[in-house]
Amino acid sequence: MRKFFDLLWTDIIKQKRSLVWPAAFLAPLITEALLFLDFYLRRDYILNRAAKEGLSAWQTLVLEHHLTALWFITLPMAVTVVCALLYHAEHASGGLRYTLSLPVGKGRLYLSKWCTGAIFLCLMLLLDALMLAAVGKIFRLPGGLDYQLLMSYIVNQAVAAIGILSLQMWLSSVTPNVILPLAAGFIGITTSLFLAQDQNIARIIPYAHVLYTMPLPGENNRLALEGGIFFAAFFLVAGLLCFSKKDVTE
Amino acid sequence: MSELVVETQDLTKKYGNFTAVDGIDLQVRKGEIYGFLGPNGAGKSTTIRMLLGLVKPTRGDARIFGLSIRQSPMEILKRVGAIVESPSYYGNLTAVENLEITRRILGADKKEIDRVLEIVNLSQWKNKKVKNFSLGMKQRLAIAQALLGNRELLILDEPTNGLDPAGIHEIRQLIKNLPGMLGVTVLMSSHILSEVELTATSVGIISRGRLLFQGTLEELRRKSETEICIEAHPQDKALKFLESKGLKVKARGNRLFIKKNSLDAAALNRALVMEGFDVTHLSTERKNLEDIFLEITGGDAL
Repeated sequence: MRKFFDLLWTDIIKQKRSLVWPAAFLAPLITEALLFLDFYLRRDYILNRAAKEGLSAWQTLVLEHHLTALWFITLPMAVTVVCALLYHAEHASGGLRYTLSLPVGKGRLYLSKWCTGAIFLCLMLLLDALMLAAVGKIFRLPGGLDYQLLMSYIVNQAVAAIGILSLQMWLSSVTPNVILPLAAGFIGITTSLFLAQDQNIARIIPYAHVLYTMPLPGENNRLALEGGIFFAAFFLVAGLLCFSKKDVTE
Repeated sequence: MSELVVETQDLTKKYGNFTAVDGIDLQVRKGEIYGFLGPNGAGKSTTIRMLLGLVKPTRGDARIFGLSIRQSPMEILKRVGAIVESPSYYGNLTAVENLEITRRILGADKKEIDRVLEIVNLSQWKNKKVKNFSLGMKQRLAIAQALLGNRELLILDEPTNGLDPAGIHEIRQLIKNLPGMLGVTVLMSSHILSEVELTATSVGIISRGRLLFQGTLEELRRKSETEICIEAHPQDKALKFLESKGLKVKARGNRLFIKKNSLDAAALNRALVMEGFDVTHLSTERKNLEDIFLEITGGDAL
């Protein structure tokens, strides 16, 4: 187990001064900037309209953050970019063939990369949640900070996004061409915007699950949670098997 | 006979219908520098990747330190340092940070980093980002990575590739000193004959996936036979005359070549002149290593 944590540590150290950090943190920063602008320009209108629909101020903040500030698109895109960059760093430096010429099994290396991606996802969600709470406080939303709402929101997003992470990690590991996993991810995300309207179709598209993560009345969070867990496990196992059998020729 | 560190049996790799490596039987002895020589695309890198477990053999097996790479890859790789094709490094990290990654994975002592930096003479640049290194410095860093953790076998794939003459000289000297200095065995691939000649003690020649020669450089040189080269006119009649004397003669261009063996060149000259031929050139020629290589590989140039 210690060996695995040492490997995980090296995978995180490899990202020092790399583009993964700005890629991971720019997404919440941009989203929160949009949300700030949204509330700065029309706070009272948004809160009055939401109150008529029976939503609390903090629920409204989550709704605006998720849909108006486009977090439901930005989050899957950021996950796609982070996964692509994690493997691109290896492909560009010959790191895979080097690491695998050390006493490191292919399966262990794949899991370590997957965990690194998951750590970046968690950091991204944590930063986003902190800034989301800060925006709520800045605009003096009525009622205290709704911790339960925020926690549910973070967990739902993490579970839904981990399905995308597993898929994108697999795609990024199979080809040294960074464009392919990026293109697959972006096409998947944009087409899922239309297909996600139908819940039966959304159920089978991992990119669509983030749309269903708002812990609000009437939202089908189960779709996001079940889909996220299923696709995370499915693509993790598929990626592990594929990577373990792969000849390292690049 | 000294202990075999690397031994392959019928090692084969096929990609579809293409056979990249065709049943090779490598033998690398402890403490030697083994030059694995072959033209580009001969199968050197594929063989090396199979030795390191990066590519699965289609057939056969490789045993390193007496262990099978199929069955005990982790035990083997702990004791093997390698550079595969080009130096692998993270340009965004410093030399020390790159070595720290290797150290962590191997679980080696922290002092190892300074030790290997000293060996490759990179101590004063240890905190510089590797993307700012020259190619020679990157190559030295890769050797430092391969040495970290007291490895017993170094597998270096084209270690002087892309270097300028000064860099080649520097890396060559470093490799030559390694067995004496650290007691390691070195398997080094190259497509440059002179490189292998100047560095290696044993050589394996591979071409089109097949191992065509394996032995010491001395054994390779012994393959060279001295020939007597004659330019005599008229050439066709001179050829018939020499053959009538029971000699095996080959005509190449306007010259005739006869294996020297115990033949006396002066007596041969005298016989031709006495027979009325105009002898305008007579010399004895010994093939150099390049000629021998071309002969072994059937003309596949390096």
